[in-house]
Amino acid sequence: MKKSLLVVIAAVLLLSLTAVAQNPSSTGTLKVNAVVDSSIQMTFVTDPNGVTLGGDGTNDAVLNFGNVSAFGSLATNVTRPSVTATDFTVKTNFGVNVVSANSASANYQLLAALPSNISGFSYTVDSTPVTSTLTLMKDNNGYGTTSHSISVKIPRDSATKGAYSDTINFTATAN
Amino acid sequence: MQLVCKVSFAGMKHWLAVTLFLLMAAGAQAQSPRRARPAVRSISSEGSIAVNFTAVSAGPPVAAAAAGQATVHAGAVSAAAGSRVPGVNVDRVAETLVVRTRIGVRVQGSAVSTADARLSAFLMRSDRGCRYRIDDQFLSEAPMLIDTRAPLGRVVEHVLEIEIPAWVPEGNLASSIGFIAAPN
Repeated sequence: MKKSLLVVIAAVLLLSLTAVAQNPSSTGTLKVNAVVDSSIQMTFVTDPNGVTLGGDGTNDAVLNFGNVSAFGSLATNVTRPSVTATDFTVKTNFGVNVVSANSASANYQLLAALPSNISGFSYTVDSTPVTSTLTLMKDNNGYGTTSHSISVKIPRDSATKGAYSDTINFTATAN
Repeated sequence: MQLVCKVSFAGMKHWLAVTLFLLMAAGAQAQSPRRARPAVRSISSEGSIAVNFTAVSAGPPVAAAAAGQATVHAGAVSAAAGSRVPGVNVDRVAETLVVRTRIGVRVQGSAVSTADARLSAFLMRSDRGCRYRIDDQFLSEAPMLIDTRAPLGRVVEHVLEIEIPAWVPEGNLASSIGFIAAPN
């Protein structure tokens, strides 16, 4: 019994010597603070039934209908749903991809405006006319990529020919 | 002759007991590094080292508190707007927001017989499912070696990244990272 006790004491002394022989160490604490804001992000993407977008996958895209006319051939994925005595309409599709982050929102509103209509043509997104005022195009859009149509009504008068370019601003607002 | 054999056997049992005791003691120390640290610190009479944090030119503000304690403020971050704090970059990778910044860590030594130290880091407190990386190494509750030779007295820059899943709701984020320095 005495021998066992001596052995245990010797072991404790050994441990202590080991601890003293160790190098000193130190600790530090770095707190990391941030504020996470909710956000949504919109980009335009080429639709399978639409023309190929310039700037595909960005929020600054170009949709080029190409050469259009009341009776001539049209670019791939451009259709001509109507031709009347005074005008004709060309139509194609484009995709809008809206993603949300750090938000409880389940869907969003898509709005559009034509701040300065240089050509004088009439634009329609889905079935809603685009005007100079920011207007709701579609409500309760689910996040992800959704397909939309864009139609342009072009007069048939002799003065309307050449290249035209207009800019439509889209806004996505989380519900 | 028979008696000699008995004594030898008894001696072996004692050495076995010593070995077992040492193994158990070593195991207890390895199981809980946090509990083991104060014991090591208390015997550092021959020299001491300290860990301090500092802002770097390409990083956000670092507010030092008590010795060895500081707070890095990454400010407001979002997937769409990124960050408005200089030195804080935000990328969206798949469904995750990655906040990347730089911090400076200085290990200072006093009366130690070495020029560098091993620096480890571990996650003391993680907030709302976020993951943290230092120099591309994910942090966990177990200390991870991030610098095998941190020069004493010099500020070394480290890249700190926070991965914030998109499902994390907006709001304040507060986490703590522990650092352990031990001289080589």
